[in-house]
Amino acid sequence: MKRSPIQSPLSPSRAKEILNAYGAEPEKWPEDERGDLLQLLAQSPELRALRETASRLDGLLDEWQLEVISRTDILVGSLPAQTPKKQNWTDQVAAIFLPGLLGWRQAVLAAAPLALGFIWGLSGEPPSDDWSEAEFLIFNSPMEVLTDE
Amino acid sequence: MDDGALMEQVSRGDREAFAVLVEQYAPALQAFALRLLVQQPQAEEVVQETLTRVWLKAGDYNAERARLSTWLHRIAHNLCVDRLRRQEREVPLTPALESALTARDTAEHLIETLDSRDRVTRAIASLSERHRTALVLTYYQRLSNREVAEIMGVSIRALESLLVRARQQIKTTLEASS
Repeated sequence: MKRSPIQSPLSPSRAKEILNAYGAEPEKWPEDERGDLLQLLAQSPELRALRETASRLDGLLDEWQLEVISRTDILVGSLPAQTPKKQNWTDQVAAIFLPGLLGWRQAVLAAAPLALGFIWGLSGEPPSDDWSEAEFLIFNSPMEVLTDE
Repeated sequence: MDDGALMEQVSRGDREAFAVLVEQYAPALQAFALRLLVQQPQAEEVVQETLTRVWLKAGDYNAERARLSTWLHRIAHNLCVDRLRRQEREVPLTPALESALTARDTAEHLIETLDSRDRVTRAIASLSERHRTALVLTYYQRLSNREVAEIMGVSIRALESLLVRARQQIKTTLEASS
């Protein structure tokens, strides 16, 4: 069914929330709800009155203007001599595999081989006391080993 | 030049690119810090510290994750919050208000001596840090609700709740003082 042009998916209660939170200026409202709210305002005297109240408060808030002096030269001049830290390869690799864990990346990468070795060691066959096969392989020539097999 | 390209140059130690960044963003950061901290020297220190961090950690910036403006405000916000928490008391207000308080410390006299702008400043400064931050970032810094929610680490619903309460409290304070 085609929606009537005067219908809006925005509820009146949501419209009030927006006006109470963001004030009267449409540019300060959430972008995706702006059009619907303007549409609702055109139909509702109650919402227009609420917007008027919000507008009066906006007017008072606008009185708090600040004079900000540009200090670019001072700010740039006071930079430390140290140059920016570029990401090294561990950061870059970690950024791919562990995004969001910047402080842990290098530690995790450094610990990874140790952890893998530990897991491999646990999962292998239990150590044996029989060293005869190893001794045979070490102390005999390759030809003797092959012919023995 | 887009944010990513600018920060790429800064991360290579390009001071001219950094000057462009300062020219573009320092006034907004200064206004933000001043509105949160109220005191000019502290606000200037926060801006200085924010930009020093940006210079040293420019390589950490990821343009795909956040706009540069959001990233800068987040750094400045964290520094402001640290300072506010260290202070452990409400920030002093404008020089006019401070002198009024020291001259004759009565509420009636205070209200008489304050002009409308001072009353607004007082009303905003009396908000909690969370309410003030929400209002300043949304209303004065003109950041989108998504950006502000990201900077403050809250949901959009929580942000809107903070904004409603902040505006309501300012209105009540102003009505009481007029």
